[in-house]
Amino acid sequence: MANEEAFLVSHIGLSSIQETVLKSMLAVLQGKATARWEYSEAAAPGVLIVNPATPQGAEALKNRASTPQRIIAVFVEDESLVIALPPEVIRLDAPLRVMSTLDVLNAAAMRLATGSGSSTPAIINMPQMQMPPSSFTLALREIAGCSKGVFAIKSSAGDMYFWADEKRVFISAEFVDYAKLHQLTGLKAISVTPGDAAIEQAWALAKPWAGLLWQAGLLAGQGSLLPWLSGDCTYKLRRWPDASLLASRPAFVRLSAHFARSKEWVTPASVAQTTSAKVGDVADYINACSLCGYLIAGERVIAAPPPAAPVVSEEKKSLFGRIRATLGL
Amino acid sequence: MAEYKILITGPMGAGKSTAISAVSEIGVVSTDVKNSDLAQSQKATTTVAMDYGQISLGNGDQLRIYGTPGQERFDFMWSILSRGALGLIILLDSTRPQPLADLNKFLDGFAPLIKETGAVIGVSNKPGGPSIDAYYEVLAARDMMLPLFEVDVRKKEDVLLMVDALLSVLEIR
Repeated sequence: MANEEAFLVSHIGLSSIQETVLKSMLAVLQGKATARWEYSEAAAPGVLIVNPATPQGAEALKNRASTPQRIIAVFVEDESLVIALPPEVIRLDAPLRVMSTLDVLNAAAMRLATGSGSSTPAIINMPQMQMPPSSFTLALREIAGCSKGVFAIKSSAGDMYFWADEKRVFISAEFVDYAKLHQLTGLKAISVTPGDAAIEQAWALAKPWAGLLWQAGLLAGQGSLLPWLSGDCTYKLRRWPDASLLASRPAFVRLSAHFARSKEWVTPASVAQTTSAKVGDVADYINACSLCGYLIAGERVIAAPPPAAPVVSEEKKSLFGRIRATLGL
Repeated sequence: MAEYKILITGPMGAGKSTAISAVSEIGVVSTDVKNSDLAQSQKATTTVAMDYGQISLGNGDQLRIYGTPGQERFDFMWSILSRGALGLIILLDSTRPQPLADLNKFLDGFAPLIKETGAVIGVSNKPGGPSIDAYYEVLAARDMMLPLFEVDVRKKEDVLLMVDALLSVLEIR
């Protein structure tokens, strides 16, 4: 026996008869499999057998990235339901048979023992905003898309003036809490005529609008992509965000480096995967870059290939890590 | 004991020595002399060979940070200092007569190093100088996508951001 500690196996979507068969097989396979296996009701076992023909099974398969350390074995009863299995899952054909189950358990045990989890990186699904964006977000998007003119967003909370030519904004003192602005309804971008005394006064206090768009963008999606952005699309940076903007979260410098690779377009999911950044951070970053106009959208990809992992030698990886640690980065 | 090198370049007065002193754990070793080229910069002294700072990485390993001389007549030093460098930081001063031309000059002068490794650009931007977008247009015209920031090299966090960006670029090359 290669490992005395038992690995756990569970299922989602098998019938009660299939569950009984599975439990019997685990008993039969004791001493024959390369590892010891026990059936478990635990939510996160070592191996989860999923039947995608059931809604719960399909959901578990879809959300497999949430527990990348868990091995997923897909129980294939109906070939038509599984056109293309994700590369990281193990296939287990119906009906359950001793030898095919043994093969699955042995393959899974090898991955679990080496700590590699899945043999290829888990596919990450970027969360998409389900609610409509706030009227504040929509108004900002409309203004940021203009290259000329003066605009205002007015509300009981205060006034905001935008000069599209100069990319500057005046924010009245009341307009300081962007989170509250996202909660207001009915905000609209209004085109205004320059020359008005109030606007002239505001111009004297105007600042670059990137800071406002960035902060508003970070809060707009709450960790999900805004509706006009898609996790299936490729993106590229037109330019790096300003230094002060990147300072808002530690992951942003690395995310920028990936989205700024000059010759390559990347998907948000592939960048999240390669950088190990939080998916919510990636979504917020893309939302903010989109509002600021830093991002170019490319093609939609139907099936995202695994990202081309950057080729960095272990020596360099260690060196960069030590430099960062020394400098407190 | 291993030695690694990051290079900081830029025209006279761009703040190379200041940037090195912001992160170096030793006092910056300079080869400054009295500035005889007041047409280029009003600063009292200027670097003629190099500036040098260092950061200990443990196990005796050192990260050495070299600043190139800013004056063009010492540009023969560039290729010498470039040898074995991990990457390059270009500092620009928007108050100089032609900061966009400066950018082109340093991109040309360090083209082999940039191609082999990577570079980050820091612009000390003051009112009246070109916008940051104008610098990005220079990069776009050369089909280059490099991190470019408005920085104040007297602030340690700005210098650290450039180093962080440089490491991030190097990681994906």
